[in-house]
Amino acid sequence: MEKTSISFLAPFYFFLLGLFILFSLILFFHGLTGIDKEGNNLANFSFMILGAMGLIGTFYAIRRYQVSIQRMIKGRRIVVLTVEECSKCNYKSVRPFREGDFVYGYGEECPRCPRPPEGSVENRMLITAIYLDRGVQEERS
Amino acid sequence: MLIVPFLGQDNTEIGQIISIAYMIMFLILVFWGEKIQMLIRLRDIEYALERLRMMRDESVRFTKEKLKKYNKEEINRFIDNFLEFVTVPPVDMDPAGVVWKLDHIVKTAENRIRSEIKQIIPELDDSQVLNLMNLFEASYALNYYYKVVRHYYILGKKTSSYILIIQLQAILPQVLMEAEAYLGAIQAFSSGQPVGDGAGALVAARLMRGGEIKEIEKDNVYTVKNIDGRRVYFMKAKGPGGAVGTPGDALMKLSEVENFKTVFMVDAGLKLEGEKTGSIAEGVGAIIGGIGTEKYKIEEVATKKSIPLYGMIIKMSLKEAITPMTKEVLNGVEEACKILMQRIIEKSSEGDAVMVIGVGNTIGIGQ
Repeated sequence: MEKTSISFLAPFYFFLLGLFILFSLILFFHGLTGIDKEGNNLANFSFMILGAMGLIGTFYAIRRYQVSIQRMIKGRRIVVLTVEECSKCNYKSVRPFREGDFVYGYGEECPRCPRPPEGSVENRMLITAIYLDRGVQEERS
Repeated sequence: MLIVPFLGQDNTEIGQIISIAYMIMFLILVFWGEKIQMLIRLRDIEYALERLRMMRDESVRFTKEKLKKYNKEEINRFIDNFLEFVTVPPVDMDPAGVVWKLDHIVKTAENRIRSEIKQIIPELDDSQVLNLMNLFEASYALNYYYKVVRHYYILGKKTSSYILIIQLQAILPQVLMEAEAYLGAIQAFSSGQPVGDGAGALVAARLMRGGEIKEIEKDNVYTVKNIDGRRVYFMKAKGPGGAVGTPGDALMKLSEVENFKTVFMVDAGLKLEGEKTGSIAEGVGAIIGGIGTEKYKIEEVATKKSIPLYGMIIKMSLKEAITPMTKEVLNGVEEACKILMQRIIEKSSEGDAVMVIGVGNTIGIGQ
């Protein structure tokens, strides 16, 4: 299988973010160092706020990138349940799906009914439904 | 004023720097504004493309991992070949008979893949082979999405076509959603779990319980039951392997020996955003998806013999259709069974022969 030729765009994005961080830092320290000297504290405070906002914004962008990459890599865990019913005593059980289960196939032995002779399927419960347990499925990333 | 330094209107050093920065930014935006926007859009596309590549690789890795106990080299070679497999549709300049040609081509492709899998892994039974075909198809779909998006991405970059890039970026969220659905389908297909698309088949399976199961045509089963004096035929694809059967062929064959008065079809259908999963819509017509060949056959039989076609759709999203069946879809199935039994009585008379076709992928659903 061939490989994708991903270009310079991701590094370019981080280069831009780096520039933002640098610019925000300069603004922040310019404001911070100017407070006592110039007496124009309102403007200096606003430089500091702008610098801080720039830093928060860029770190938020980096974090978002990280999270989306993690989501991309992380496998989603889903739980599928199998419903079994005993045709004799109507006992119903719900358990996690096991490979080989299928609707109207035979599942486990009924715990309530007496044990039949060895190898017989008479005592085994019928699988009546297999469904996804919505509670543990992760939604779209 | 607080805003003055940012407008570059004060005479301090920082004010001058800011006014120069504004001018530079203005010039950059005038000359390279579109280019910068294009770069940002391309970055988004590149990110989506990388996600698609990872999904494709993950599906292929999962499939290979699943089959690693068998003939590893042969399987790897087969999967790599399968991802590039092409099925060429027939020429449609003269549309007469094109459905039969398409049907022939699709069946040939399916038989070829099925026989090749059987040849490579002879230990597998028919159900496992069908499940494996479903698994390969999910990987195929992911590979196709990846390749098409990559094609337009590279083309957009090469030609610097802003329109092409915007269009590609606009459809990407939907493409990613669909690709994620296919990735989610891999677990279901690999372990043989019923998927949402099997809702129609599950309705038929529920209603055919207790009857004598007979096979007809390729991958179909049916049973005949007496319901209030009506001979009701229930038909579905043969499970629990991931088959959709050939209901059109089966109906054609059965209608040679039985005079059906009504045909009911139940299938999973894609809902519109905002609609409730598992809700049911009733209507008329051949309710069946796919490439259209089976639909054509069913419509042919119905039209020639003037048989009314009634249908029922159990609604769900694409993701729900190809991932393990949800509780809402299952509730829809139970509801559809009740409605269908009512309709059979309402739309037919005693002594009539009625056909009920449960359409859909019967993976994980026996009979």
